[in-house]
Amino acid sequence: MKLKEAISIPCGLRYMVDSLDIQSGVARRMLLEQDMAVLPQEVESGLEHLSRMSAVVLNENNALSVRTLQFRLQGLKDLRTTLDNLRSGRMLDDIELFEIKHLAMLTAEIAQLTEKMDMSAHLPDLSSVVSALDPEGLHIATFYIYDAYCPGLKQMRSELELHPTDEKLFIRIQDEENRIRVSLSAELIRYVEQLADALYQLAQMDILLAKALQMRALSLCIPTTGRTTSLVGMWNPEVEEAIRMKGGSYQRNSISFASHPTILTGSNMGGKTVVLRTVALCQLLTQFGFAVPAEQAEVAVKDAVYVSMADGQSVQEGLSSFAAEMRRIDSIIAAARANRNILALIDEPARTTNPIEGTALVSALIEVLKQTSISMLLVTHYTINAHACPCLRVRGMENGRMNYELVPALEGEVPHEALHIAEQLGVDTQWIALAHELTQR
Amino acid sequence: MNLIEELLRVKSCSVVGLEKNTGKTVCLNYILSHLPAGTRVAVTSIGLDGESQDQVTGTKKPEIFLRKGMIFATSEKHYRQRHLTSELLDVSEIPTALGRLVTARVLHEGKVMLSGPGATELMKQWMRSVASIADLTLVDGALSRMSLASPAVSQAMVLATGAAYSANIDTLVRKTAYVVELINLPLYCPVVNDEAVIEVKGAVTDRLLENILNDKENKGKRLVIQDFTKVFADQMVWHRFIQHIPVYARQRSHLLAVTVNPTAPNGMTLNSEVLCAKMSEAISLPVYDLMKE
Repeated sequence: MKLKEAISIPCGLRYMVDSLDIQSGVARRMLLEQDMAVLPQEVESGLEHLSRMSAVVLNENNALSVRTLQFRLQGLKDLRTTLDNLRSGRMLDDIELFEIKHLAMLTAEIAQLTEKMDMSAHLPDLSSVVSALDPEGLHIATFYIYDAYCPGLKQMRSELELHPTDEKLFIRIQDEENRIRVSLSAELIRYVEQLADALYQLAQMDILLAKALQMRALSLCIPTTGRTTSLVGMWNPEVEEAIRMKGGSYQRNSISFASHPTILTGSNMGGKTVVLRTVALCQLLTQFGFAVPAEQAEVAVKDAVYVSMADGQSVQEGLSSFAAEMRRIDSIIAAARANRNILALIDEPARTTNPIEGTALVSALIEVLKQTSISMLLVTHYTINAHACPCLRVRGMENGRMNYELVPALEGEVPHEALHIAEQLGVDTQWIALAHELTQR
Repeated sequence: MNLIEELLRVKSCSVVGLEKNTGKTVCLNYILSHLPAGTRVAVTSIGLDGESQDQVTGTKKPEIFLRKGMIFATSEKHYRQRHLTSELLDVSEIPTALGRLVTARVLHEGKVMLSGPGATELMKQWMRSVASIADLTLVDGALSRMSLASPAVSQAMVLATGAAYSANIDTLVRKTAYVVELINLPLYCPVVNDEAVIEVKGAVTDRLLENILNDKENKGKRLVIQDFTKVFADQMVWHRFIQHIPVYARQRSHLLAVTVNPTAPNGMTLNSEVLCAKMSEAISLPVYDLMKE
């Protein structure tokens, strides 16, 4: 899965990606094209890079250099088409030669800067490219077919100054300039892979720097990888911002789970969906090499992440919400049966049908998935016979306030707080009173 | 001629033609060739311009002629077709209809076609980017793109008009004077909680003006518009309106001069002396026939 696909999962990943302060368009495009890492060592290596960049960013002595580096990275242009032209042996025009010179000089400047910051960047040496495109040794990032390339050119250009309307002379100059462009292109083709490498490395540096700065700004932590997932003091930055805008405060919570289904219950408005979203967010951030919103985090690397939530998508696809949900869950079962190492996050399955069949569907789903090694969090309001599956519940209303903490629950224990919460919301009293009466019967 | 002197006092100026073939490019070339040597000038155009053939009437149009040291911005396509030697300074991410915007400095004089940013914001972005290397920025306006001559973009403007706009001297003078009148609308000085003001942010149309006039509540009030580029009202309606309700503008361009091209694309030529005399009488501003200068 590419990051550009993952950001459509409704978990707050898009918010995290959008808030990255990436300087160049090419780095942002490369980031969105990035595939999710699925091998633990691959994930670890990405996080290791982030950890090193984070140390650079946290070093007070580097504050000015970091800003300079960001400013320099703004000059990084997407040269991939130009490099393809060079690779295919075409004659480059002045604009393309300018771009290449610009990249080579930028690479040298940034290499110098990173050395000062004690950053272990392995940028290629492009000094031969610079000297080919700066024959007069001016060390400025502008370009034209310099007089210095050919003594005859200089002479012809001076002649043209005297006879500006001499078309034949102008054409001779153009021919000479083209001859120089051809020979420059032939010379530069030797460095095409180094140029491509420099472009890639600088874009990666831009991405990594943005991730490290985001980590510092939001006080995120770098997760470790392990066999189980354990998120201590996690929060969802997008939800937190929304709560803060309304003047509220976000209560962080913790969760851990291993390779089996885990049931999550709790009263309405108890933040269960936010828990699912935040777990999905932390999992995806880890595997895309980001820091995660938690005080401490261990994450089990997965082949894939499945999220089943009501998000209005089914309406667009012309499916009923029930049909869409059944299909989503069916694909989860198929993946689990195929022994794929997956994380599934399912929010209130079968809630749109009658409680008798709904309960049966959910109990049977857990029974089926218990046979596999799936990691799963399932939120439900139904009373389920979970048969030795771990159950968690939101602590719920305490002294008129919601406590969002997750605690172990007894099997089949489902809170009966809906009427109480509805009362708190101040809805029609006659309605709620009658509902109370009916539950007593 | 004091147009050049006036120009040297401003940071930016757009040259706007009231119609195609009113001599806008002649005017720009005139300015470029008369600026004192050593003036740090940067020039570009709104969208596509500087075509060697007029896209609408098929007549031959003069190209922009640039001298050594001048800075210009054009599209990638027109940069490749340039007829001069220049040093590339920047390839920006600003898009034009013909590729990215390229900024360069002329090393050996020659001709180039200009096709710059087509949107106000992008034009402002480019103007900011050359502010440190140019004392004067010239923008070649294009047909029906008056909005980019808006004071929000450039400090001053030169208006090009001519026989192509109207073949009758009196009509041409009257129509041009109307545009000049709009450009020279008095500037509104904001007053806190000014209740005697009707403010219109968008387009000012005949219908809008009539509605304002027909509402008795508006008696004694003033109308404040954004700037002259927002007025799309008929001359007659406008003049009836301002007899009852005075109009002010939030922003105002400094109109330096009006240039006239007495020759229309079909070859018909007006009497230049009569035209210039009548025009300057009507608008009390310097009027130049650049073909004669």
